[in-house]
Amino acid sequence: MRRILLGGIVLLLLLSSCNSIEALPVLPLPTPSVPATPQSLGAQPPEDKAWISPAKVEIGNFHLGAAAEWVLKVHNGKDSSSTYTVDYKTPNTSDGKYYVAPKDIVQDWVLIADSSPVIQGRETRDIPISIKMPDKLSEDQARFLFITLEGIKYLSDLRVSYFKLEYPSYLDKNIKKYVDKVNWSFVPKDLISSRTELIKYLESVGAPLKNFPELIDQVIYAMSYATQETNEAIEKRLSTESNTSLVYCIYNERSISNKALALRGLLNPTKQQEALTSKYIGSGNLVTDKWEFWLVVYDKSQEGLVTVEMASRWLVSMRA
Amino acid sequence: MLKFLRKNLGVLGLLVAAMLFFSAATPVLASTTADVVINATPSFISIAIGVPNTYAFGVVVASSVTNTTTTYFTATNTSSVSTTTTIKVIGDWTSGGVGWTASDTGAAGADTAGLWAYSPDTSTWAVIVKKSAAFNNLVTAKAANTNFTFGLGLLAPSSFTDGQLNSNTVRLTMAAS
Repeated sequence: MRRILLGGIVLLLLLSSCNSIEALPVLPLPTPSVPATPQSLGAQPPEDKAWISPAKVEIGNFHLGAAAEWVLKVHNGKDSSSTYTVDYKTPNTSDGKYYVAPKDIVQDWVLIADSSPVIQGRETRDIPISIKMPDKLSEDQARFLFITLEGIKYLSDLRVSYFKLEYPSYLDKNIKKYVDKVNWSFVPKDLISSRTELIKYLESVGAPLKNFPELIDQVIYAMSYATQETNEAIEKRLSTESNTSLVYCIYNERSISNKALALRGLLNPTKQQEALTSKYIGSGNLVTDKWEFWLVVYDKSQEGLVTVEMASRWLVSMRA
Repeated sequence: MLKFLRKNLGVLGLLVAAMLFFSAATPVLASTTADVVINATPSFISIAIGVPNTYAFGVVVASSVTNTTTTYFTATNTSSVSTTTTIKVIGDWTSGGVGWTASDTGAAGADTAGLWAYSPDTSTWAVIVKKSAAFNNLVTAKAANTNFTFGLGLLAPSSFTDGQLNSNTVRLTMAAS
């Protein structure tokens, strides 16, 4: 009976190992072209202070189905052990180059090997991090990848801003349904006395705000003093560009405070503020193919009114 | 049967342990795809709050302002790169009673308190300490290895439902600029 039992154990071990290959813990080994840990941290980090490294990770030529992996170092500067948390975080701001990746989409792509490490005093722990983009995006997941700024034109004392919705060729063509035609040329002054009214008006004419909830949260109302000449120019543009969808927002530059943003600028506030003050003329693209997320590290043993967390910025550039 | 089990307890224990070990779910990380380029400049982020790291605003009168000195808190910044630090409260003020709502506009209201920070960048009490994103910058583009100080000011609610002690936590988030 004992022999049968032992034989059963061996068989069970063999079967379990075959069925659970995917469940086995896998510590990533550094590939020759991608060192998992930097050779040097440059300026030496303090031994007696908590720190994380690297401050930034840059991923290039990313694409559907691709994966990238790096090691986040977390150092406990205390003499005693402490529990840390390593979490995905939505970037608070954008530096004007990278779009803030929507957490509800991108967070699922990021895997943190140990999100609650217990780190001994003066120990530096390596936390493997990987990000894997799905082989195919759902329509909802793709919504943040295809917004391109067409440009701005400066007409008389008005600034006409518009952005174009289009999709990269590698996305499923069904994404077309996200491209909505908007047929308005100006926002009547009496309809935009408040931010709420502006949002209502835009939604009533089909502006795709529902696809970008983050825009709704940040829209600041704009006042319009559209002239007949401006309206005619915009109507002409709308009638000739049948392959794209355009959203226009016209406002009088003088009525906009420093904090006011046009719709397109909500994707990139810093850039928009520069455009407002520099009277930028011409075309350019907001970076639809660059986005970022953060990984924040927090020492759970902190007490008191003021606590701190440290963020590592992960900057992703998509393949053209 | 019982005799059999008692006799083979050790072996059975080994069997159970083996089942648990191989069935436990653990994350599997994906290696970098061959055509993906990934790199990171050697750099680190390091911030700590010195002592004092707490402050008692005490008993407050409705709509009153109570604040620390402008340099009450010291952030020790030993980062190797330029950094920007945002400030927020982690949620509403909590107490044994109804608590206070943390105002995202800095304005006070019924059971709603505003919290402001003194920024060394602007030398003003102009930074609203919000609970909802997007959070405000306390310091922007601070040079590497450069400490900074700041203060906190409380704008008490315009009216109180109860007189309970309220508390909250302020969180600084530092990232490379």
